[in-house]
Amino acid sequence: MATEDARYRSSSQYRVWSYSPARLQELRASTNALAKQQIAPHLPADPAPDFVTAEEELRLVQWATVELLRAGEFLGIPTEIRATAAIFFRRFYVTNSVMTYAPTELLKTSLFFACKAENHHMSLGELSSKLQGTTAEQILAGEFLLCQGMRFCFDVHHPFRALEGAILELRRQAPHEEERIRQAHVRTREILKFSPLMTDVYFHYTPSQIMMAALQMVDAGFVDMLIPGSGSGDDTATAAYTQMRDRIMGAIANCRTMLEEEPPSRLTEFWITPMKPLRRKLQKCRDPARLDLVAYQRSKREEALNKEKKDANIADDDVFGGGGSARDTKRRKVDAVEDPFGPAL
Amino acid sequence: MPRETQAEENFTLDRCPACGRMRYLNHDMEFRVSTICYHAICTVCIRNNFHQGPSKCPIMSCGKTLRTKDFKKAWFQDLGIQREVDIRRRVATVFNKVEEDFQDLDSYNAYLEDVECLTDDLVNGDDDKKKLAELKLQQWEAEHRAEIERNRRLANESEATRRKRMAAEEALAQQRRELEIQEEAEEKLKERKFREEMLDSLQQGEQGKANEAVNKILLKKRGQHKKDVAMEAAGAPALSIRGLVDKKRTAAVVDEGPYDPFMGLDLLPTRVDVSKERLAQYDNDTLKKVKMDDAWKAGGYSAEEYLSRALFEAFAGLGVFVDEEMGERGVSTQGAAQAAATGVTGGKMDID
Repeated sequence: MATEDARYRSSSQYRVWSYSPARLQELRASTNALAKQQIAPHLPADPAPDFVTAEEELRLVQWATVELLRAGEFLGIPTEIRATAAIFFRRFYVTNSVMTYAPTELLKTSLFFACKAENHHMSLGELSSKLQGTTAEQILAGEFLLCQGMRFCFDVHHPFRALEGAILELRRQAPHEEERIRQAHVRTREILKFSPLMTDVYFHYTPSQIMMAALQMVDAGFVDMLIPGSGSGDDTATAAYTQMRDRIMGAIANCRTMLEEEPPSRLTEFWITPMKPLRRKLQKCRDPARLDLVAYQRSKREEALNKEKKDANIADDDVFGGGGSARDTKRRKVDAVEDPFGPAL
Repeated sequence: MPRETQAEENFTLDRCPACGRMRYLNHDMEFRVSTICYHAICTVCIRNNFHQGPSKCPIMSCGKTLRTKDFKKAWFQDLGIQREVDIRRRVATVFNKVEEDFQDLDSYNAYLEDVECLTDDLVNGDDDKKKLAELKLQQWEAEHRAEIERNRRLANESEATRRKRMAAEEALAQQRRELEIQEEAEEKLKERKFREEMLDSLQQGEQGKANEAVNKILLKKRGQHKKDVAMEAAGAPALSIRGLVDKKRTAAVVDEGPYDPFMGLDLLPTRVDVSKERLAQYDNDTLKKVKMDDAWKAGGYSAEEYLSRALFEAFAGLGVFVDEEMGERGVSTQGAAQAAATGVTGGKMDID
């Protein structure tokens, strides 16, 4: 096994955030069902609430991702960090529903947190002043939720540096095709800036596979140059290599079909798809308790404070035990505390 | 005198419970606490009651026999805490094993829990529990006196001297074992000789010698009997500690070679060549800038580092097939499993 693969397998992107398509679909369906179950009691039952489906949720997330990318561009955040923010955002909505937490709020939090995670300093005041009608508190309200939602996996592996490497390799192999390589570089980067973030390829493929797929969309000849077919020869090593190459090519082809669903031109054309009806539908079935995240967090904090006060009122005798109960107090259970890493995936 | 419970008594009381003198009238009144029953009485009472030798505790309900040396100044105002601290100190001097004495953390933790249970019995337990715990403690102390003493000394020793002493101990034990084996062999030889002699003497009918021989046998048997009794006594329920380090085993240190922070993970890429000569062949605009301008390199920026990382990432994970490897992970429904299977074989993904 190549050491490259072993190293990728040790990343959190592989260990925690890689799913087969079926598993991802299943996760989204269960997230949707759970959210419905939780929200239903809080909504008026008379006209039965019309919840958004898992597919509609995904469309809403995609729409919000476009908004996120545009906001990132407007704020002058570098490409890689925009991509990180988009991936944080999409990961969050795998196990959280748009009905529970508003995507329009979380996308700002994602941008802010991605800047933090990628060491790109952007002060909270600067960000909130640039985004109209947003307070610093609103951005911070979802921060911990976001971290929890993505299981504290802050390291996202992007295909951008892989593309740099591939272009370097191509330049070395074909020095006379400077112009063709330059064009391929620019266009592949355009694709990588948008298509992978809009589709689920980050969940299903590795960065280098995504990069190869994008490169194949632009210039298939270059991919063959980077992953050359084996020469003639029928020993076992060659056979194994050919088999591996076929599998890699299969994965790249699958990834490419996914990427082609969202070509980069969609960034500017996305508004053509009517999103208003869906957003209106979402407004009607949102969790009323979490409509205002700031107020929600504040109430939670106050609740916690009150609880502590109540604890302080307990007499010393009850805590230290008057004699016989000393053993019991020693074995007080602590598992009532909420797990900071959230429930199981 | 009103009956007072132990918890209510306090050595800063304004009134001595034994003689009834008031602090208000005697400013230099001092209290001492008995370490047996934890009653606090004033120094005058102690002198009066105990200077002629042991006597009963002046508190009516107590009835314990005390001596002058049993009284001391209490460190804590709350005598309950004073008592617990004293008990804990005593238990800690007896159960003074350290983590290195155990094979793993689990057994050490189990040991700590046992000790804590015993301490708790002594501190908070009812009479039966207290008595039982006290018995256990004394038994352990009596049986492991040498070991306890050794551990105590050890705690003050440095690591280096400790290792040296362990080696010396090991050597001594080896010597002792050899000596024992030798003695055993000699013993056996002697016994055989003796038996032959005895049989000979019985055969020859020498009365005096035969009697002597029989007496000798009886004496030997008696010694054996004494040993048996001791063994039986030892079989009574006592503390046993599991998971102690087998000293013979730890003596042999396994050489594991130098420490490898990556646990054997080879970091050299296999799909691209990142040797220095090869890296020199790569070129782009950034690299040109780096090569031209020393200001880039002043901060520690290395073109090789950038190149090898970019090339590594271009091929890293190419052979990782997520949908196959993660397919088994948690696909619970049959339909989903089927979808996963078709996703692998078919060209079209069923997503969105």
